[in-house]
Amino acid sequence: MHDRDAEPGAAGVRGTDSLIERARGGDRDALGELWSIHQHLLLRFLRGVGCPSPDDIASIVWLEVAQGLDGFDGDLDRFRGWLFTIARRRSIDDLRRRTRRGEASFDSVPQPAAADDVAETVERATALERAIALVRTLPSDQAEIVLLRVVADLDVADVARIVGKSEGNVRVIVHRALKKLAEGLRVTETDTPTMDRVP
Amino acid sequence: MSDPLDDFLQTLRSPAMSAEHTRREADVDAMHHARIDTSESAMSRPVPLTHRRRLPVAAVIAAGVLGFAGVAAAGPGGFFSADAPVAPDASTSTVASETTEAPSTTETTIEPTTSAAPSTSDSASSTTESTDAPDTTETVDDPERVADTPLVDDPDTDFDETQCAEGNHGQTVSSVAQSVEPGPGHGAAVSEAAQSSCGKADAEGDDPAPDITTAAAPDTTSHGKPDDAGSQGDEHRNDRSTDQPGKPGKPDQPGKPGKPGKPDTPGG
Repeated sequence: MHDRDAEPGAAGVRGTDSLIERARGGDRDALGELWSIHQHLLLRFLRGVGCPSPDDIASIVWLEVAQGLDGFDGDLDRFRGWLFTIARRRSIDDLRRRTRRGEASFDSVPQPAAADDVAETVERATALERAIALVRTLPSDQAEIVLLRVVADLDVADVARIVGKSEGNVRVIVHRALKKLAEGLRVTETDTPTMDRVP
Repeated sequence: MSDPLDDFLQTLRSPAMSAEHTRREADVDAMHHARIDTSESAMSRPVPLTHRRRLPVAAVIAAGVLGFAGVAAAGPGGFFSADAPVAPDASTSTVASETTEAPSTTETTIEPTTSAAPSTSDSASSTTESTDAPDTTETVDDPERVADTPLVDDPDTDFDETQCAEGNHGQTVSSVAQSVEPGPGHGAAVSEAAQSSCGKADAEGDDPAPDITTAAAPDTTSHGKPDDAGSQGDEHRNDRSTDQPGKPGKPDQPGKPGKPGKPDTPGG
């Protein structure tokens, strides 16, 4: 598939275990840093699993993280696993609540902020939106596992623990999901023009 | 894998966009306040004994209990068992006193066992029988037991004062002490009864080692359990009172591992 160590992402931030210690001590900067490292991944995961209001759920998740830091013990990798475990539960709760109320889910598209390079920002936002939309074409369990594996950069064991499946099952699901995504990308490339092709 | 898929995966992992960090201040403030509230509540409320904290507490309690039990066990029993050479001496002195009737040897053997207790002789209860001086020194030799003798606590005993208490030399001596009118001959009569072999039928072939352990046992029981000390003390008192005069006694010892005194009591 891909070399995990060579990939950037959340796993690229290592050796920041003291960050968790400082955050546990109530250091606002440390809390902000933790938030900055993981927030965008958290939002992408929530959007990928179909959460209608990912920003609100993410805020709830961060609040729960702050309240539970005393009971957390581990490095940044374990923190990420813990964070996405909470996020998955909250997203499931939110979806169930909305289903009971009969509320229709809607796609939350992040509004591009004013930036110097608007074109680049729009391009990135559109590409990300397309990627998340493609993930959402997958069955829910596949989408969830692919997001945990790719976005959250969790290893198979952590993903298996979070979703309550065996590691072998997770590997099979990831394989199938990536195969579907590859097919979907081929179809998308042939059918719809990408931002690169836009004059 | 194809490049489009890699690009796709890279897109999902791409660095944060500014649109994804719009709530930073609000979220971080909420987290900060949550941390402060959590810390304050944790400081204000009593610290619960979590599983990790219970372990050392339980260990300390267990160590304390075991240590206390160890000291208690090693106190009288362990001490005397460690002083194993004392037992043979006591046995030899007992046999010697039994045959040669040498009270001096008995006193020398008894004193070490009773030296732990102060010789205040628990006056109130013992004065009734030991008003006469010289001979009562033998009974005062073991003050705790003399003080708690049933002569005062249990005056309604069935003991026939005119006869020897079979197997209980102490009761015999006590009955004599009670029966004889206080006066010039009281001490002599008690001394004579004490030096006689009346009630020493079971004493022959006795093992002195249990006597030593029983000598130590009343010290602990009498301190900790007054009521129990009364019942158990009777047995030991009998032991000691039989030990007192001629030391050959210890008629209760054969049954000592169980309840030695009861079967030998006169009433039974």
